[in-house]
Amino acid sequence: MTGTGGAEPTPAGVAGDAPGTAPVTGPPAGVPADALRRLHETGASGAPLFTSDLSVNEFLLVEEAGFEPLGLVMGSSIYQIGLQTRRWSRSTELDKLTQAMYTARELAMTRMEEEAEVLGADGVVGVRLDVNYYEWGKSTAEFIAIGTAVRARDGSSWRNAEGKPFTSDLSGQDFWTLLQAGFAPLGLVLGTCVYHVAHRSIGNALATTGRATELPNFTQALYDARERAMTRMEDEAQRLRAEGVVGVQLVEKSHMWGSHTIEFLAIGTGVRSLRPDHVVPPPVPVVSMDR
Amino acid sequence: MSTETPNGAAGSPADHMRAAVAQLATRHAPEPGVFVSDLLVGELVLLDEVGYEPVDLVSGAGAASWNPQVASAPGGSDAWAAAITGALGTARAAIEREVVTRSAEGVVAVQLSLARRPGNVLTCSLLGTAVRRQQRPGGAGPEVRPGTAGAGAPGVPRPGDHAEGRGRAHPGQRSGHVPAGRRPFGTTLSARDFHLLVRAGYEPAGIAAGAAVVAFPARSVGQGLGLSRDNLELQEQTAALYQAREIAMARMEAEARAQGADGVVDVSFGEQPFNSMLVHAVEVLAIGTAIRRTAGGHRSLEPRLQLALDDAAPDVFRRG
Repeated sequence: MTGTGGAEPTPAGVAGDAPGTAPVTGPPAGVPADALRRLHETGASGAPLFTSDLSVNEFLLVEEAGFEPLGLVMGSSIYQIGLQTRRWSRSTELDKLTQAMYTARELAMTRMEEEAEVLGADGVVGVRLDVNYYEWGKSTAEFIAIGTAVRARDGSSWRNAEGKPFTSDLSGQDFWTLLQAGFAPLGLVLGTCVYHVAHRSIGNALATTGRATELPNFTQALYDARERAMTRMEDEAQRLRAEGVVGVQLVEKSHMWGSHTIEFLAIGTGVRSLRPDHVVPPPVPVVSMDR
Repeated sequence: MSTETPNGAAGSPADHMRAAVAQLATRHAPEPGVFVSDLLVGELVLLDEVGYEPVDLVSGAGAASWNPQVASAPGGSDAWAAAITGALGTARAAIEREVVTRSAEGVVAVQLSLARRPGNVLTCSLLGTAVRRQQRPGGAGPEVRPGTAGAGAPGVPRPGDHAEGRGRAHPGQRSGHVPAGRRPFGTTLSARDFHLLVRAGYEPAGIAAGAAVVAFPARSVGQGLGLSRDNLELQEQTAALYQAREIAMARMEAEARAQGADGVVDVSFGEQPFNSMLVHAVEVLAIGTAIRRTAGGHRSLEPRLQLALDDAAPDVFRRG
């Protein structure tokens, strides 16, 4: 239906869609009432009960780092990703799809941050961003953000440049190590780019059959898409006034679009240094004897 | 086949079957001083380090069924969700009874398996090692007990700087019985995780679970989809699934509170889509280990950075 077959005619009315003007639905339906009720119970001053999907190791390390878990927070958005026509033989970014992937993740993240805000959190650790597909929705995906809201035990503020709780996809172990190393997380930063990689013409395919040769079109397309995703991630990091981005992952996925349309997602945690005179405890070198 | 038994013995085959089942159900506890456990030697040492000893392998099972076709009716999905937690609850109650009959305090390293059978039957089984606080007055003393001491104690170094972690969680209670008014604890956490928790000043309270099912008639989902070529959020579906997860979490939290917990760790979300001609549904099951603080309060584990000089070290820096 999304037609990587190039001969697919473009229906009237869509042909005029300029890239980048993909309509986005109005204000997001925020955090549902059930969530607010749960969060208020979780943080009830009388008998607070925290929940967390951290493992025991991670949970104890987060406590070691001087934080206490407050509760599991999440955000979700089921999003219909629109259609955008592609040309068989032209490599190009599909702005409308990029926009959809951005917006849907943003909705999920914002809701998760709102939940963290309700709990009075300083940050969210161990954030996972997942995309789920359900049988009942073609070109529909659910975007989920889920993590553990934490608060500094000494009452210091860990909010980022946007005045929001920090977010990070680092595990409890990495979070502890990051603080040991003298850095503080600022926020999850991501950049995405949905790219259509052109098919090769039959002439070109025949000409290179059996030869060892670079296919410059493909190289160029993948290169370009990755660079765009990375640049956007860096822009987000700059907006948070981060000094660096750690734990960057570059994920390539075709989702429901077929082999020639690929999402390039760059995702990492923006960090700042805590203080200039921080001393990192030297790691103890060990050799294990059980190998 | 005749219902009369040969030899003229009294009772129908059904009676014999019941007797055999009853015999199965009341497996004899091991002799005093002998324990049965599926834990590794290293794990037994870790239990010993925090003052616990294994007693026996214990298990529990439960089952439930429901009718998914009525689940989209008002209130129907609640019955479905209740069936899921009901199966788990039955299994949990059964394993708790076994723990009590062994004079143990709780059960660790529980293997939890939920299986779906044909005809919308869900079965749940639990299998774990029942443990209790060590009953010898000196804790892990020099006397040799069958099993642990010979295997683990001499070869394993016990760092002196962890002495505070070896303190018994409740020095006053060494009876090995569950204190009055407190249910035995159960946890899916490994003996290793149990060791860490106890050292850091926590103890497991039990397995906490909550389920919710969101169901909608099949056609309403299809309506309005595929008609538009625009990007848009499906707000109704978003809200429904979001809510189901929140309800599952809230139910899990309520269970944890009932167990007197201060928190729930290691929460996992299981989501199972269910599709039929008439109903689309998603089951959400949140499950975790409820924990509570022990009297001593939080104790630091004082972890240190270490750098393995083994050749596989670069793997350490690769993200999973």
